[in-house]
Amino acid sequence: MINHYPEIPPRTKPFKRAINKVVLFVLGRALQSLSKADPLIRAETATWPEGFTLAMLVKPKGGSMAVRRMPDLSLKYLGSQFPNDEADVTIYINEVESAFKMFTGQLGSDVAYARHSISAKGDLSYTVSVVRVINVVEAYLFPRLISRGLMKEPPPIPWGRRQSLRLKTYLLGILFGI
Amino acid sequence: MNFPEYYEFSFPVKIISGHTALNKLPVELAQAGLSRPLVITDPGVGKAGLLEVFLNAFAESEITIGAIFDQTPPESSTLVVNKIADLFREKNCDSLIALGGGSVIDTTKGVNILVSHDSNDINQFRGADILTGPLKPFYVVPTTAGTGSEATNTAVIQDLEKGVKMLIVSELLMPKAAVLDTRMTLTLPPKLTAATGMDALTHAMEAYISIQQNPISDVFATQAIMLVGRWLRHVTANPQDKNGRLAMANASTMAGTAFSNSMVGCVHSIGHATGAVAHVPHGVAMSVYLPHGLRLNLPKAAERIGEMLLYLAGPEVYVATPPEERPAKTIAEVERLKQDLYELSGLPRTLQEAGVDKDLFEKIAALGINDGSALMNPVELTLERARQLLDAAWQG
Ligand SMILES: [Fe+2]
Repeated sequence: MINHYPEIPPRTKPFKRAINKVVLFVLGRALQSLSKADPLIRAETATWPEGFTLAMLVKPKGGSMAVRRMPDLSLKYLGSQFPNDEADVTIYINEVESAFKMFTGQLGSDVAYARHSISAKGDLSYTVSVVRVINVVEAYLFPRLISRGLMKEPPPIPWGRRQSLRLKTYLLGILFGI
Repeated sequence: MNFPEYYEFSFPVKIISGHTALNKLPVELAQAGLSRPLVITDPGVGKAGLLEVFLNAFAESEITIGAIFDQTPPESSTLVVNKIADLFREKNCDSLIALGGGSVIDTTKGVNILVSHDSNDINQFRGADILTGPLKPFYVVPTTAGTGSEATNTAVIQDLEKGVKMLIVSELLMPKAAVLDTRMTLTLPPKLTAATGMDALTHAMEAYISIQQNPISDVFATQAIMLVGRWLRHVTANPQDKNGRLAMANASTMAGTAFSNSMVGCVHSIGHATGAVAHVPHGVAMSVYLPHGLRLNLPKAAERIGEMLLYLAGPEVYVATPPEERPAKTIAEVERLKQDLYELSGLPRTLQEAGVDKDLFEKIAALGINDGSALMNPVELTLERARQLLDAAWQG
């Protein structure tokens, strides 16, 4: 009779968890690379205090990434192990499915917030600025057809810059951290 | 037409509404097994004689007021919150009652976090949806009709030393009950009545068109719009009208419920910034900006703006207006309400009348586009649109 009432530990979704972790890495490296060149992102980071750290984490243990605002307005990728209680702002994505939707271009930041898919710890006064930065990054990483559905309106990036920075981000930024 | 793919709605607050509703509060506490509430209020409440009414309501009850803190400043601060939390522990209180307006209610929410988590550092609780419970039983008796704080999940506490506003969002911050007692708002002067009423209308209208809008918050929003449409002029003209006062108190709570679940939008973004930069009272800023904020959202929310005409102006006007003209008619009705309130109470209609210096526009716009409320506004609030809104609001 003992085994009739077994304990059931949480199941795993290794594929989605793995994809989420890859996209967190891509996002971190893309933020680092794009913040050196894109004027829209730099206009936002100019309003963040120097040394400001932003962490993003999939709850409960689905991966994380963090970036720090440097003196030259760029963002430095701090890897996947940054202790999130030391970040100024930590954005939590509350469960694996929402994270997967956000990271695969099926769910935009503002709608995710509206659906309580994300919560945030720390100083909320930077939230809107952070969302604008993420929108710009998404506009580079995703094809326009997809990124258009993720935000209220696409950020004003000229066509030429979008193509050249997209190429640079994928080839150098994400692969080599430049 | 669309229906939200997913939404959440939370409203755990019991409403106790009546001309002498306060008399029921001791029973509520006793039934919850409570006997020593700490009462938090401000000097104005005492001066208006409302504290007397409040204490009389506890006559012949089993409740001992553990302590009264009656020095809450107009802007809640970490210092005050810490001081009151100490008082709560010292006097062995078991619950909290906020008797006052927005600042008193926010302060009490802050105190509740500290005493429930046995902490003296509100800073570590900053954020959205990260607070853990349970919190102490908490009751609200609002003395204004507009902020809706008795029904919201948000507290703003200022850190005066660092000069920052700390924002905490959590459904755990909502009280167990809100007591809407006519006597508490009967003495509000007409201009303040008009301004706070327009704040309530703005909460309801912005919640109704928000990205986070959902069918249950719509019910609260539309009823609030209807009550404001029917009663705000009347109460501003007849401050002693008891039914009108109670209707507006209900409108305020319902609008608060709506925006606590669906958020507000660009009128609040620019309004908060105008308060911070040019010190325009919140309700006045709401009234000045509301029609312009609706206009800004026409490209994305025309249909829903048009729907609100039914509630604001009534079925006759709604039916007599062709569907394609309803969005503009809703905005025209808001303008007409503003004009009437101006004539009845002198409520400013424009930024010029509110005494805002045009030189401050750039600062207001820059601050406004970073306000959290911009996130759920249907149209992206860009710097350019914020500037246009300010220019439009200058002369009306
Ligand atoms: Fe408001």
